[in-house]
Amino acid sequence: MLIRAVSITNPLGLHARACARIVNIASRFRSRISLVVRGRRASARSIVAVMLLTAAVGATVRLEIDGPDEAEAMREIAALFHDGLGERS
Amino acid sequence: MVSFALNGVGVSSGIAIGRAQLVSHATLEVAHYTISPSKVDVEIERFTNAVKEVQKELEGLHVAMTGGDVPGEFGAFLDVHWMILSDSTLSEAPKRLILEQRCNAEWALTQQLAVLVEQFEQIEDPYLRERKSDIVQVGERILKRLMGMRGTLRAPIAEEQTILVAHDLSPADVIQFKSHHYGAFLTDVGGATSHTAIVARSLNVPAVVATHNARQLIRDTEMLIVDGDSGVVIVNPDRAVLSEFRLKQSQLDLERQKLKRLRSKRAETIDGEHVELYANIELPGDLAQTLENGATGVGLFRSEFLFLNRKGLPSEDEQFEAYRAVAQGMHGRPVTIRTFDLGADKHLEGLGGLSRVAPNPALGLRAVRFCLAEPRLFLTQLRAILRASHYGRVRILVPMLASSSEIDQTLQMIEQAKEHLREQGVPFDSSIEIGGMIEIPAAILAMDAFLSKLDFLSIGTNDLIQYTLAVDRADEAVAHLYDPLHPAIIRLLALAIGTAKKARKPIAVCGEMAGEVDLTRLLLGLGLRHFSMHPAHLLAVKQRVLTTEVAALKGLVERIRRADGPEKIAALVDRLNAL
Repeated sequence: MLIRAVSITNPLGLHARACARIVNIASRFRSRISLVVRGRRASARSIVAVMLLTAAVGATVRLEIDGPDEAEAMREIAALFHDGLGERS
Repeated sequence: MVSFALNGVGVSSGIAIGRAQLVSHATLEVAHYTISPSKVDVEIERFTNAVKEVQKELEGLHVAMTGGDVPGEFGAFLDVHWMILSDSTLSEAPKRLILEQRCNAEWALTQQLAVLVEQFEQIEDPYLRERKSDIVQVGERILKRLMGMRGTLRAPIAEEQTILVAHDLSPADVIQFKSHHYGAFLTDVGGATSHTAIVARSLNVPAVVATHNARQLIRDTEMLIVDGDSGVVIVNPDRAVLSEFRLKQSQLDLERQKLKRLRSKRAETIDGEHVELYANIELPGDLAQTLENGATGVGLFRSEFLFLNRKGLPSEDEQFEAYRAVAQGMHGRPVTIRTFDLGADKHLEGLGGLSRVAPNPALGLRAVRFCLAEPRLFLTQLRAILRASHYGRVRILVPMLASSSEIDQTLQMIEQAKEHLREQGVPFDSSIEIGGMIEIPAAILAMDAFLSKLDFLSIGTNDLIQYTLAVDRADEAVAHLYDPLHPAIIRLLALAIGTAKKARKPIAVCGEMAGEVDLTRLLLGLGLRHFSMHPAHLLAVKQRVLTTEVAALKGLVERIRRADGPEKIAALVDRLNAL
């Protein structure tokens, strides 16, 4: 299992469209992918669960990925967070 | 018919007059019954089918949208709804409830929706909490299917404009606005950041939200007036009110048409004084709006916006690409790139120096002070700007200069950046113009150094007012003291513009005052001929320029310069505008 901490850098935080981008990428992998915020865990494949994490800008998200393609999945999802969830400004 | 008015929040401007069309609110009318054990499978299948049908409905809307002139937000909203629909919390959990409680599908779904909404209600952040409406909207679509209602809206009633009245509208509902040309919409709930508001603005359709109970008070086909600016809704207006708003509406239309025609007109006063109207931009994406509104240049490219909200610093190449895109997009017209104005209110993550909180950030290490303290960061940006200067008419604007030694240091840095590029044989405009922002009173009172060392000047009125009056506009407790018409501000502006003119140096105003159409004549009267503003204000300001005779302003402007209070100045400015 791979674990890595990333932070939310886009101003609106985990709002609906940002969540959709995460779910979109997560669904392409076979590994089990979880996001953990302040002890609350959500499967990255469920948009409702991710929306309920309600992480705002500045929050830290722990990515936990376990499965056959975990390295690739970690790279893509971490990159999405680094890219401000697809929102530069 | 009783006439009455409702108040809401206007989130998309304009006036619409038309007849109400009510949209039903599915969750209010849900039946609740028990099913026999033998029918459980049938009930689950009924639910599954409804989900599938809504899936198809959303996919159909998605297809209908592509290729059309539908704003990009729609696609993203639909994707979100499709995903919510496919999420097991909505598509699977109700099936378990049907099985366990032997309740009908509608009731199972309503219960599950209530559970989810409850969880969203506990969110503290109001913006994220509002996202529960996405879940509710998707749930309602399934409900409508289950109850045998088509999810799509009826077409507008007749030639008369139709105003949609709903508890809430989903993005998918609003898309049909586009094809059916509804006149406005009205919702019980929502706020300035709701989907309804965002989409209404992108469609240019008036909208009033948060009316609380419009859906209950208004009946189908009742006559309505919706004023998206004031947030007022008038139900069953009498003839006098109706004709008043019709007049207002046609005036607004006329105004908009007239302004559009001004786009390629040269900005010149009645007495032939030419005025430059430039745009302030934040990202290369703002270029389209800039050109649409006839800007003859970019007077302020706030480069720091390119790089906010990201980790680490942008590379020289990344910056170069952004600056070049704007330089080329303006086709030889001037593009003024302001070097990073970071500090006080704008933070760049990953910069050690900025992560500490300064005791008084507005007076601390910001803008050019910060750049001079971080020479590597500054040189990287300067090289990127210089490289872009090969592809258009680029100018460098340095923010927050206060003293001649800062100007000297900055010019030295620019020389150093030029030297690097020469050594590497990279082309750039060697006679690139360098300007300074005038935003500290000290810069105006001792402007000689600016005039002798720089090619042009630009007054940032927002900071100038903040520093002159010692008022932080973002601080609610003192925000009312922030006043562009304070005599000190008027006199500083007059002094700055007059001094630059005498020295034959171009001087512009690029703060919010420049885009305030009620201040256009005042600034013209003070001698300003160069304005830079948000592109949305360009045409209105141009219209004011075209209807102004500068020579006629003289007497009143002279009195404004001598006036001793903001109230007197405001009264005199009103008289200027009535000329």
